[in-house]
Amino acid sequence: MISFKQFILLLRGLLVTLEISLGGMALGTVIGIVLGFLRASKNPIIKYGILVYVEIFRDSPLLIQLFVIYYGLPILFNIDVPAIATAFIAITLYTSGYMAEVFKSSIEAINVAQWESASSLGLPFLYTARKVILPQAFRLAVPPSVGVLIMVIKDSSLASVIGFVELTRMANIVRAQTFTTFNVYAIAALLYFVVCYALSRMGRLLERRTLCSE
Amino acid sequence: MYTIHFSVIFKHINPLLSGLIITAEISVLTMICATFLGVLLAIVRMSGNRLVYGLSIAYIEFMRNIPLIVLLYIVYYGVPSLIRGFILTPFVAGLIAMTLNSSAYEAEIIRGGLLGIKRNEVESALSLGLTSMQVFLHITIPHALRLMWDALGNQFIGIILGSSVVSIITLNELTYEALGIGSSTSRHFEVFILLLGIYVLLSVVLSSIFRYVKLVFLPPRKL
Amino acid sequence: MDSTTISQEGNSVIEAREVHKWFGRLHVLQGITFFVRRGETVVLCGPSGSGKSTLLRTLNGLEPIQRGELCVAGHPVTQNRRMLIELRKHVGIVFQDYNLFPHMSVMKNITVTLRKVKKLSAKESQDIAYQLLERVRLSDKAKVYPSSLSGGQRQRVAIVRALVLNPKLMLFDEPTSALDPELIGEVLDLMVQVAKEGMTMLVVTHELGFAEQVASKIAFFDEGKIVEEGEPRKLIHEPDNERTRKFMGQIGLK
Repeated sequence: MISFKQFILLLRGLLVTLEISLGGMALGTVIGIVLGFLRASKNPIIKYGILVYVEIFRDSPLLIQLFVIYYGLPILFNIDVPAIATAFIAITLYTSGYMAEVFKSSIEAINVAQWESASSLGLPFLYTARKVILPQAFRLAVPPSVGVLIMVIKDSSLASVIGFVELTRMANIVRAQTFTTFNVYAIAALLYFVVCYALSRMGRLLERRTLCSE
Repeated sequence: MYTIHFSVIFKHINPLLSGLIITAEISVLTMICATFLGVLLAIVRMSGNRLVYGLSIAYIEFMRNIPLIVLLYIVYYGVPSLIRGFILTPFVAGLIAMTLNSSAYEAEIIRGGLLGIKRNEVESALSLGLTSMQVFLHITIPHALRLMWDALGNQFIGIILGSSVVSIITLNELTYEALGIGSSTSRHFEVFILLLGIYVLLSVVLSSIFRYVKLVFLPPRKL
Repeated sequence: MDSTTISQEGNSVIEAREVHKWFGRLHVLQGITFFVRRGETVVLCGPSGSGKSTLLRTLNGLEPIQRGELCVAGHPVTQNRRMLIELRKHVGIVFQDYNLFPHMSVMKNITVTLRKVKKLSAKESQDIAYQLLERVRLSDKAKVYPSSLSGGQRQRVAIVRALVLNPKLMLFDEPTSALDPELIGEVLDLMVQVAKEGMTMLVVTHELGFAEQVASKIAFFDEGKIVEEGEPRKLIHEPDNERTRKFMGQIGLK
């Protein structure tokens, strides 16, 4: 069994996992919202450009994306980049691809009549997008967003490979200290499970509420 | 000054190809095993027995909420440490971990497909005189397949992408070989960009195949 | 580029000449020539797909036309963005599905256009909104959200929202078709009130009772053309055209 101090280490790793997941996802969501709106554009370059962007980040393993950024950033900026920066950037881009899809669907789900009402009243485009469509899109986007968050928390474990110290990396470290391999990883798995399962139950509750309140 | 040179890595196509073969092998085997296990779980999940029902739900929820890499560590490092003399090859360990993981998702997909079939369909088929077996083969399975097809395709793509994780425990699949080429040529960046493209290509090809099969063999047949 | 052209008859609010529109290959408006003068209430009716709703929607630029001339409230209707914004200050539209903004209160729904388009202050907008809500007896619902209102109440709020900019023309696209029968009356009463106060209105509807009460003329649409046009009493009870007669007979059975 692992000691109490080591358990605390794992908890600290969990904290880092949550921080990087939420942080990366927050920024990724902002990018995703913009991309989601742009998707509706009639300009073919923008439309297909965003499609390509989304497909790249959704159809390739996060591990490879991490490697590309890990080796690519020092080349581009000629400096040593800490693992946390790599992890943050990779998670941001990764989530932006998924969130762009989520928001594209949410925005499209809002009846086109809302756009028509707003423009018939003379409201300008940007205002309509911000104050009429987006608030409604947010409500629709919450259940799938929870799913993306759960996915990100799990996939953040891959950042351990490039040396970023989150929960999985911490588990590796503790394992090296104690040689109780199975226990360490089992406890780490349980920690992931508790967080993700709780979030998934919340997500299911939210999904039911958005469906019923219309 | 570091200049980006792609040509150097083209001399190393061979290891990439052998890596691709291993990726294909482990992915296909996982797809088969996970589907079998998924079907079993789906049936068990829909059965009446409370104990078995509870166990299957626990299994599914657990596997769906932990990262693949941690499961991989448990299978490859954790279990052998408990049992003296028990060793797993990276391939087998990877196969087991990915199967356990995917089967949980597949169980839900399959259950969704089976539940999607409305009772009236089955009842009217039975009233027309078809036997239970015939109904199962000609009505239930095709309809369920149609409902599950997209989700199943996505899951299979996920398996291929997930196989990259097994490189961590030194399985010589695509990603592992790429790491090797990167080390020997010091062109890590170029190799991984190429690898990104390869995985995207694999995903796109697989999803196109799935879409094609859906159009040809599983037409919508709306009323 | 902010010129407003004065049309030949200073009195007409809608001038449509040989208007054509296609949806892909469907020729949905086939040479519509049509005039509405100030203060008139005109009802458009006809079978679904006949083009009446489409014509309505071309009048505030929601649907572009491919051929012909269209002039509304003295503005030629083009797809130029600034023209459209200017035009829509003078044209109010009420849809079948009310389309209130669900995440805004009734008050916010009504004042949003006053604040953003007319650039009035919060206080001024609220005063104007309260006045109008008083007149339709909905002032107690000002802080309430659309989801708590009945269909009839929502539609009346939608009408107020369109009236608040004091438009020269009000368009109604089947305003009562989505309502339960017992709620239709309150909406029609409001529309009659608006008509009697001198508003120029164009209404797509099947409510012939309303037409007989306030409409100056009815236009019967079929397959993209105006088949017959005239006084309500005549068109409903003694139409000249065979198709008009058939249609009136069908909806008369309601």
